[in-house]
Amino acid sequence: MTTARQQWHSRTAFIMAAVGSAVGLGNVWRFPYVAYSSGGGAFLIPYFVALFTAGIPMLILEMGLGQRMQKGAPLAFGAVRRPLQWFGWWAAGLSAAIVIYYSTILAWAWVYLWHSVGQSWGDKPEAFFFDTVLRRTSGPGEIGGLVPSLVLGIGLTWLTIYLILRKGVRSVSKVVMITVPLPMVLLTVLLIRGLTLPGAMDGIRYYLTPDFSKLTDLKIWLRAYGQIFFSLSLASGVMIGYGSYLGKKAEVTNSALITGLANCGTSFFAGFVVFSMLGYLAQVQGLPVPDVTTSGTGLAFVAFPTAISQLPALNAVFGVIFFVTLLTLGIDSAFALQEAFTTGFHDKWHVPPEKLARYFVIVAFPTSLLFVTGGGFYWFDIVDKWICDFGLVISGLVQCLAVGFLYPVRQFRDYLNDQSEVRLGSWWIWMLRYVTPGVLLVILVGNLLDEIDAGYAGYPRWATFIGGWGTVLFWAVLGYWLWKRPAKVERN
Amino acid sequence: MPISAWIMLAFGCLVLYGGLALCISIAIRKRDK
Repeated sequence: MTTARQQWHSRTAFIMAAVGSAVGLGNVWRFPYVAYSSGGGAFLIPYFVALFTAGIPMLILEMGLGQRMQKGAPLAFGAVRRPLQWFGWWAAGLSAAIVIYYSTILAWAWVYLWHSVGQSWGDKPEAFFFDTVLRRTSGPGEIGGLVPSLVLGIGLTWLTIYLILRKGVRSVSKVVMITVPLPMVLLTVLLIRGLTLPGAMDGIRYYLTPDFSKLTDLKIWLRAYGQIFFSLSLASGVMIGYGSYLGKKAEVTNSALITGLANCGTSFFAGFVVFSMLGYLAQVQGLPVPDVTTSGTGLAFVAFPTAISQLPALNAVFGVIFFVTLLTLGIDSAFALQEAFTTGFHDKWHVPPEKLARYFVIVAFPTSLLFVTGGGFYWFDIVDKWICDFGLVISGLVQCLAVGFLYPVRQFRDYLNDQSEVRLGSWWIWMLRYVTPGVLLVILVGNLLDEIDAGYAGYPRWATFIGGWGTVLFWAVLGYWLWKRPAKVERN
Repeated sequence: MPISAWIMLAFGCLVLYGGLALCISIAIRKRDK
């Protein structure tokens, strides 16, 4: 039984895996709406500023730290300062929490893939989603029963994740060669279909027409930083884990640039797919485009199914294409998140990949069943909100400050420059020390004030306390316990 | 579509896809050396 650390098959495999992790459902269901509602084409300006001043510097930091330490987030941060191993476990724990609730979205997509053959949602897709598929109860206090079709969907998701991860990055290297290009091809098919529909250009006009007056609003800039931050799988240990499987002489900086640009390029491209379809939907329904424009689950499971039903021909084919796109976009983000957590166990206790994948799924599958109950949607919403708005923002902040001030960051930059195709200047250190933490701090304070002031989406405080703060604190406690466990020392 | 929308389209493509093409070409060039 070998416990040696695996490596990527090739640099291409690493970049594909990193792109696959970054490119997820948010690129399709969040970016287009955020761009449209934040100044249209003008949003590209703060978006690019955020990409080059926060997104790519943090990507370089995470990939570089993993590569230099040859360890996942817990032990990599532990090498920066011993107590930071606790933080590393907490950050990696957040990624475990994310994959547990993220698997629910993939369960919905499996169910919709099945229903898309006959467009079972009929002419009431919203009621179909909430009442038939989710069997949503009246609130988080009413859990209701398990929804069998979703249990099957989530089971299928965990089985897929297990099969992909059971041989560690060796199998991931092969899988990403399919799961990363496939959704790009499918998105292109959907774009061609969308652009050939009446009303498509109307939708795209709404997406791209710039409103430069919005650029004077600080909130738009913070939204751009938030979008970049969440879209690139930052602060959850994913990129540190993936970087740790690179060889000691591997290139990092240019790979991070390619990953960041490919991710944002996919978001920009997906905007054309979404808005061409929304433009068509608006035309068919005789409504203005803003009236049919939505994001998140409303876009994927209500607006898109409606548009698919209204297509003149091949509705089932395009339905299947759309939900396969969602599944392939989501699955590589899901296994990347799991890997970010389990790699710490390999580093510290030399647990082989197959065992890690099996044990994680054995624990995570039953836990994720909470989210496929009648009240699961509410808990999903609460946990997601707290992990993204508080957990990941705090994690990003600590990460930048830890590496920026507690680690010999200039030496680190020189180390990266020695083996990189693109050289980093002092600007990179400035971004890590001041710009990114500053922006994250403003976002965190804004989120906290919003929560204290108005709560979240009308949920009772007890629910947000248990599901939100409870989740974030649970991983802090578990992280502390994992940090304090003695590591296994290899005999050789 | 207004001309400003076309300009933003070109701007987005130039930064994202132009930047990506540049980075990939650097990677290929350095690999070949």
